[in-house]
Amino acid sequence: MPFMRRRTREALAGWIFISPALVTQVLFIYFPLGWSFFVSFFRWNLIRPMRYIGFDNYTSMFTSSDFWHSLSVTFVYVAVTVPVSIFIGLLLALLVNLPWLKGKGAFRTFFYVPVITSMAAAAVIWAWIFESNVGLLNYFLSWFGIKSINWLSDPNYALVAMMIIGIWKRIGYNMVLFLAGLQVIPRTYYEAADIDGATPFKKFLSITWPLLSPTTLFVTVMQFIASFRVFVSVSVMTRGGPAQSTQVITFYLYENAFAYLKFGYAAAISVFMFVLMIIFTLIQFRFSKKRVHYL
Amino acid sequence: MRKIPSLWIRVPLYIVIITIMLLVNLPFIWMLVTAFKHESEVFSLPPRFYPDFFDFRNFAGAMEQIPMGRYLFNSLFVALSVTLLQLVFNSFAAYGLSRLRFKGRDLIFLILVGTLMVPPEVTLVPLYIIVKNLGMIDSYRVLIIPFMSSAFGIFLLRQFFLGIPRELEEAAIIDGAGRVKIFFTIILPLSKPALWTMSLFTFIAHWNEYMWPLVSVSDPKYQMIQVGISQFVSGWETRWTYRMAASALTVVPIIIFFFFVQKQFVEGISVSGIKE
Amino acid sequence: MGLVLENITKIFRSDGSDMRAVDHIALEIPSGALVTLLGPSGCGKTTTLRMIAGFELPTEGSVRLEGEDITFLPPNQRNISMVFQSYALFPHLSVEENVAFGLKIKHISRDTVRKETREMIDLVGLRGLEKRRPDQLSGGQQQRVALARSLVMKPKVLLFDEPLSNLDAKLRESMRLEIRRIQQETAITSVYVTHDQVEAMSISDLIVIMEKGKIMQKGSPFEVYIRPENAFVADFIGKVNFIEGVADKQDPESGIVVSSSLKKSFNCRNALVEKGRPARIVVRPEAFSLSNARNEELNSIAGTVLSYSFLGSHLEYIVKLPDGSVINALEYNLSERQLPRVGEEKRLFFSKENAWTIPG
Ligand SMILES: Nc1ncnc2c1ncn2[C@@H]1O[C@H](COP(=O)(O)OP(=O)(O)O)[C@@H](O)[C@H]1O
Ligand SMILES: [Mg+2]
Repeated sequence: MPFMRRRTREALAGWIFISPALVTQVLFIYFPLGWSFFVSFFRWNLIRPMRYIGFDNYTSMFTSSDFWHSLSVTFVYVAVTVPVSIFIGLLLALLVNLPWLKGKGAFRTFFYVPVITSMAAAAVIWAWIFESNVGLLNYFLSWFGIKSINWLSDPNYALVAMMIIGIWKRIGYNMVLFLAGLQVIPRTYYEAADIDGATPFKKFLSITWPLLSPTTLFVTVMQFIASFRVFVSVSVMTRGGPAQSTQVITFYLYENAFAYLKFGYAAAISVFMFVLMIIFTLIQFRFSKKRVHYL
Repeated sequence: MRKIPSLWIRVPLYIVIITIMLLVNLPFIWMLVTAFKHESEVFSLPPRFYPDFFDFRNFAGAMEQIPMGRYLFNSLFVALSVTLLQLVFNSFAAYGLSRLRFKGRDLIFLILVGTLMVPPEVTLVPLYIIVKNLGMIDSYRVLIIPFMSSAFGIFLLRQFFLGIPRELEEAAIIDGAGRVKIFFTIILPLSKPALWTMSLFTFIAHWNEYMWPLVSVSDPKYQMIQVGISQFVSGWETRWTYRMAASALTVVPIIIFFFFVQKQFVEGISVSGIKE
Repeated sequence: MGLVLENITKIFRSDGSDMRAVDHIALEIPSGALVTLLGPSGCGKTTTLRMIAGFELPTEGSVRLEGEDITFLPPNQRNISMVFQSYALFPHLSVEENVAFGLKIKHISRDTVRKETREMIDLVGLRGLEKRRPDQLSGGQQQRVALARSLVMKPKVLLFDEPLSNLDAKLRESMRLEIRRIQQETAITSVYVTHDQVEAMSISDLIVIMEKGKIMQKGSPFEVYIRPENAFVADFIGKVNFIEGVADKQDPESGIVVSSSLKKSFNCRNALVEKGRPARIVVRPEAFSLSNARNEELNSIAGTVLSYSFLGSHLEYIVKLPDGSVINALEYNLSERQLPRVGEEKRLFFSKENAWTIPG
């Protein structure tokens, strides 16, 4: 039937158009993802042949104090960077959004610069700021009578240094998302509040914050995932040290794979991370669907 | 009409905003200042915010210590190649997914966009093993081929294509244009803003890429700038002036580039909200 | 015969339920004629047009062009062109490039393309605007580009989907004359879709009135206005009054319908309704003549003026009849040069020639 032929021709064209992307995505993401699961059941160091060991990688992972340590370091990092960078991002968005402010575009651009620069270069620059003898940060702190801190070599401070960079790098991004959210809030709400003589703080609490909640949720999940994946700053500046104080989960994964060549074990860590990410994402879907009903 | 607050409120708020802006950009300012300082000035206390004389020798010095030129070229080459390939493959896929009807299309869309949920760390190990087995380690190929398409780009372009009126396409069909002709003469020219936005994201993301070249390349001939520059930190003997000069070479071009395209870039984020 | 639609039907299937958008449309369109599909929004006009163009495949039936079955041919092999409701001009191309788009695909020499494009731009009156982009043109000019782009392909059939609906009223009037002029000049068989009955009346050789996917009537503008076959058509084409009754005599020239509520019998043309069946007399507002006479005449009804509007050239009355029904009547000869009073008694008269009967 000619009817069939036309449909088939369109289908064929469709497959031709999508296949290059489909092939690369499957080959370089799904296949490795599947292989991660597979390899996680083997002992393998690339040199000797793979050996099936069942759930051994997972059991040794969950009984390894190093693993739990890296997980807890990561969660401390997340617990600090998420709220702080969201708070500052929101603050910047509110400031840049002030109706009478001139040069909005320029401020927005300058706040955004850290986002587009690479973390590797940023880490090199920050290492200089954290320098303990003549670093800029200790110099500023000395104004307040704080004695010089060995930011990168003191186990008490290295993770704080990582947090500072992480926050600095992300606030511009969060600001832009909040700015987009702020534009969606109808002006009439504020005008009505103005007529009632509400203070700016009252307006924020009763209008901005509740109406911004879908954005806030989105920013939170994005920031959560980004913080959870912290890697470059650690890799460039501290390599997990000193005394494992910055041994975040991604770096733990990296070391097991490429320093100790424990590929099966590293794959098990990947799988664990993947499951966590999926849970975060599902939580976001869940919440954002609920939001839609409320609005 | 909204009333404008008094100067007593506006001026302090301006000061706050400008101060935060300076603080946020202080690392870059400090980087530039240091990059032009003479080695002996660096350790003066209190720190000085202007160099005695502009010393360009630090840049030469940095280039001597690591093959900066090569790294920069590699990054440019890789980021441009990835961007060009993604322009082609992503727009192809997006066209198929938005404009052609066939069975399983929605499933394919889910499969392609589902990769957004897979962070690169998760596939790092097996991907490394795959490219190693393919003998691709230490090459441009290994830096480019795995990234020929991206879920983000496909998603962005598909949304844009869906907004192009179907009647335009039908007008072209009735005039005798085939799928390919329509794609190149109608869809692509009309999608310039989206293609441009996607290219900016892709270029900057791959210029800044660190983890993958760290893992897949060890030969300096193919190394990219972000990994290259991190070698500066591990070597303790390196001078801070050299480090900052190298950082400046890495960061300043992209910042200048960003200033030119920031409007589209930042608006792209607000629309898609997907990528850094 | 130019274009023939043989009982074409289109059923859209969405979430399990069937939607019969076009229901057994049969139509023969002579070469060179302009046929209008007229009907309310959603009645299936666009779908019919899209099946002719080849963008939709009929669920049933076939489309034939000059004897050849083209039902399953792809749109570009049908020798058909279409002017879209939104014009569908390519926003990134100039007027010239838009018009030349289809020609260039045909691989004809560049000189020919240039020559034919120029001719067509002249024909639609756009000389001097060749280099403009669509967004630098007015709505009417965009419409002309769309027309030129279709005409330049020298199609056997030209389809128009509500081409004037985005223009203001004045422009609409001049553009429809323009379209008619160009269509007659080029003698291209055309199918024209609109929901505007005035537009349909003014440009068509044949009007096809559609409702819920079905053809309600087809005929010349004169026929469908003077001899509507059913209430839908009578009502859709222009203003109309219905007088309800029962047919007493079936005769195309001198029929009789009896209204029990008005306690009168009316002489009329009754070609359609058998004796004894419910009937409706169709009387257009302008067919009445009004007087203040009291005597009972043939085909006259007394009523009270509920309201009227003075519209310069004429008066428009709303008159209430004894049985409670309401009549809309126009009076052109304001002989007495004075306005009526509300509540005044008027006698409405219509001639039997102006009284057409349809089934009730
Ligand atoms: N692609 C489609 N899928 C489902 N229903 C459709 C589709 N196209 C049109 N319809 C339905 O068919 C009916 C006729 O539509 P259309 O031909 O566009 O009417 P018209 O042009 O006369 O306004 C409408 O009820 C419309 O909702
Ligand atoms: Mg329509």
